[in-house]
Amino acid sequence: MSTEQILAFMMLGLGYGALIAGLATGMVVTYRSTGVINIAAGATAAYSAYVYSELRTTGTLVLPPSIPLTADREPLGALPALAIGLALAAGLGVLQYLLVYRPLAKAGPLAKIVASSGVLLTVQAVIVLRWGADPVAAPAVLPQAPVDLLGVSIPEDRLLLAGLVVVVTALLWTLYRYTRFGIATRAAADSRKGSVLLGLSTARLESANWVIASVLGGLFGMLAAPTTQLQPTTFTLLVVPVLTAALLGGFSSFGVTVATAFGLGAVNSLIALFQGQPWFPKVDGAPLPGVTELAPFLVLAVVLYLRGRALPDRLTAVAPPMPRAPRPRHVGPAAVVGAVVVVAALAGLSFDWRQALINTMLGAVLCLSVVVTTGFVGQISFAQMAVAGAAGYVTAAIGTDANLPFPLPPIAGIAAAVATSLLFSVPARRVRGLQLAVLTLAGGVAAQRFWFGNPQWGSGLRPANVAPITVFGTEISPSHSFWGTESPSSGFGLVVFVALLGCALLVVRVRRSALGARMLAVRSSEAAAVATGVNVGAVKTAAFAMGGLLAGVAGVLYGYNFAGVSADRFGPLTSIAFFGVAVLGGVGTVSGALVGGLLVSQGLLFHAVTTWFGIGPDYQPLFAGLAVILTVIGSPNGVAVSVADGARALRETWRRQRRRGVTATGES
Amino acid sequence: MSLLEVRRLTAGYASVPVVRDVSLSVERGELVALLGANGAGKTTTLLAISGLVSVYSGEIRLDAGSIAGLAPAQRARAGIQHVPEDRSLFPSLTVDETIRLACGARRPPKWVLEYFPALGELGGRRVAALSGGEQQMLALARALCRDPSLLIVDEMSLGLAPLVVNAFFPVLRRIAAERGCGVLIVEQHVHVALRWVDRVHVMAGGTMAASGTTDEMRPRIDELAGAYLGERTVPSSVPTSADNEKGENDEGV
Repeated sequence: MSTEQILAFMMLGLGYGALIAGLATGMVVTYRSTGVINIAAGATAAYSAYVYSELRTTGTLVLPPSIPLTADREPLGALPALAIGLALAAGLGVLQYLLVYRPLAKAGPLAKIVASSGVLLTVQAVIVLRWGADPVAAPAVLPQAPVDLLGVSIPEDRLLLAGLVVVVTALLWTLYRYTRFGIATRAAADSRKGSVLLGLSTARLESANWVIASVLGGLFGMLAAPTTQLQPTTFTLLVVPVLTAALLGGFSSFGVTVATAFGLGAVNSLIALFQGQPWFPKVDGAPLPGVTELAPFLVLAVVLYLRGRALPDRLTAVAPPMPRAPRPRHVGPAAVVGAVVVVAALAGLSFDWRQALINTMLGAVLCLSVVVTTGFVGQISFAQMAVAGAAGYVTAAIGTDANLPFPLPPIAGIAAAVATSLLFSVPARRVRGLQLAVLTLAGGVAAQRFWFGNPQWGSGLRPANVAPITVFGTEISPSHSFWGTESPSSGFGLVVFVALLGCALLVVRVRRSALGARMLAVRSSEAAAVATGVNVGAVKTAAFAMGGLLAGVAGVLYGYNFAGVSADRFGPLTSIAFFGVAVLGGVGTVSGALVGGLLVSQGLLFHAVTTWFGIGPDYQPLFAGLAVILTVIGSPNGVAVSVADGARALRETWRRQRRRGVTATGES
Repeated sequence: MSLLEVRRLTAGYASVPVVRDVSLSVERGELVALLGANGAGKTTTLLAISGLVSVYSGEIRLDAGSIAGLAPAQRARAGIQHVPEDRSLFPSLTVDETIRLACGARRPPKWVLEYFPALGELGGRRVAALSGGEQQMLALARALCRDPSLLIVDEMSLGLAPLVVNAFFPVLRRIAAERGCGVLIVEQHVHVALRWVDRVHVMAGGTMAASGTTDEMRPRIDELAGAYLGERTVPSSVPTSADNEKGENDEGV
């Protein structure tokens, strides 16, 4: 490995670095103007790149309706295709702002990040529906002829991309520093009220900023796609290094953001170089995977921890609006009714509905973990799937590889989940709010690639088998007949129900306890909680432990349900989708988690939609994404709380009318 | 024809009316005070005028034209400049940037500097680093840069030393007289306000309790203070600290 080689690889990383930089500066722009951490940035940039690719290969514009722009599917020229791609990106920016973020202008960061995850899921679903999940060809925009620089030969487009990023960054810096538009944008970020009272049109400012961000993303998406890979998940998950760069730049400094982006690009490229070296750790003859994903996570974790504070500063001391978390009521009757309904359903439903019910109950358990960590304590964690995955993989290892009997595998699995969750609680002591969301998202990606998808510790690309539950020689698994029912067995359904009931009652108990009150105090204001003698760190640790326990139960049950675990089930996109679904149901209440369970992919609602309306499972992610966006706008407290409020209002009206009726009768 | 005419205004938050049936007016060149105890509805009335709270019924007219359908930013562009209680400044901007945002020029216009000469010294300072008095001065200057026909100032003296407060009143007086704009203020320091304003509206419990010129109201102020302003009656004959400093800062801040 020579110095020239290292230099050459670092320069090859300029392409990837430029893409990260373009998206990250866009992210800084949207955050500064509207307070939105746009985790959909990678997905929308990918959309522009796909559209460009389609125009350059078949001359068809995909909006999604396909409009042929040339005769006989002739490819369109590079410049018109680029212009159309940019116009589309601009349109996507305005649309996102007007339809999603403008209605959420007064909402808290939780609502905004969930809405953004809804956009991510939607755009990703559209891409997969139209172009499939496999990589497609990304036609080159910039010349790729090799150029000699400092003794090494690299493709020209890398240098052009890097140069373009530097120019764009300088322009952005000047725009926001010296122009009236830039000053107005910063002013509106400081005080929306002040801007409005001064007569500034904040809507116009904000939509202009969304256009800038979206165009930046689209531009670098189209230009850099040939240097990376145009594949939906890869592109969407670019959001992790992008967030790393934006976060290290404090969501304000373009310079630091771009420098970090290029740094990550170089590291990414160097890891590729190192992977070819004899000293690089290998598994089954192949270089150890997941190191590329581990890098941004470690950088983020260390920097955020060191930069973080034990208490929020003045700017973050004000509690953002969070969904309501009322005290649970009517728990006993609800549990009895639930038990009767579930037992009857497990006995009477056909196999497909039974499977959907089991999936719903599993989903509800996972949503309960979000209720504790996010709903009660206000910590946004995108790593719940990784925590569940930890439980699943350890259960598989203890049950199948070590061949230990039940109940040791699930106990070890749940313990591993609690330990993983506690690992995330360490930075949560000093890092909060959106920073924690970003950190846990990066952690989720690292866990999936470095652990679950790693043949050394996980199962690589294959699933790991989970041995079924066996009690006194009797197997209780979805495939094992129980009272004569076919797969999935109602016996396993009952196990899942008992677990769900136990978890729900645990969460109810926590909410009613003194610990629950302390959790809500921490959520409202960490500073005020400390002032009243609450040990904030201990409360957060307890919440993460409990969240880990619940996610662990879900992970173990997942393993049993599918008789195995695989890395793709515990990916960050699934975590994001789950988080969205949990917020959709309502993260403040147990009933919200139950509603969330209904809405999970392959749960009851989606099964009903598939069965009754003939909408194929391919469309489920699209509807899930749209549902997340619509709910977060229409019902910020979650469906469960809105339904409960509606029911209460109806009851009140009915009571009032009855009273009026009684009075009228009495008077007559 | 009054500059601002509010007729039978009912306004509030989330379908709960806070002020009911309130009428008031401000003429050009006039300094008018809206007085009242905490929770009387003064701030809500101001916010309704600038469009930041919902109006359920009644009429708000500026220069004889109804502004009911205008959004807050449009009302601002129509000539209403509102300095709210929290001042709503932009902490990350510098003083010059704030002024540039308000009037387009890089430096405060000369006529604004005549009212706030100290502003000239603050140019590159970040707003977050200004003292309370400097921030209030910037908030007033920012509003003034827009050359408003109606200047609304809510709780100007909040968090400021009496000496600083006493410096601002004569400036408002001059602005009203020289720029020909109407100035509507909410003030808790009744006796200080009475020394400078032309007319007074007293609010209590969300309604208008009394209105009149300062001369008409001055003899009644002790009675009004006891009944509506939630203040212990302070005989107006007793000199206050404010009285002692009267006239010291009449030139500007």
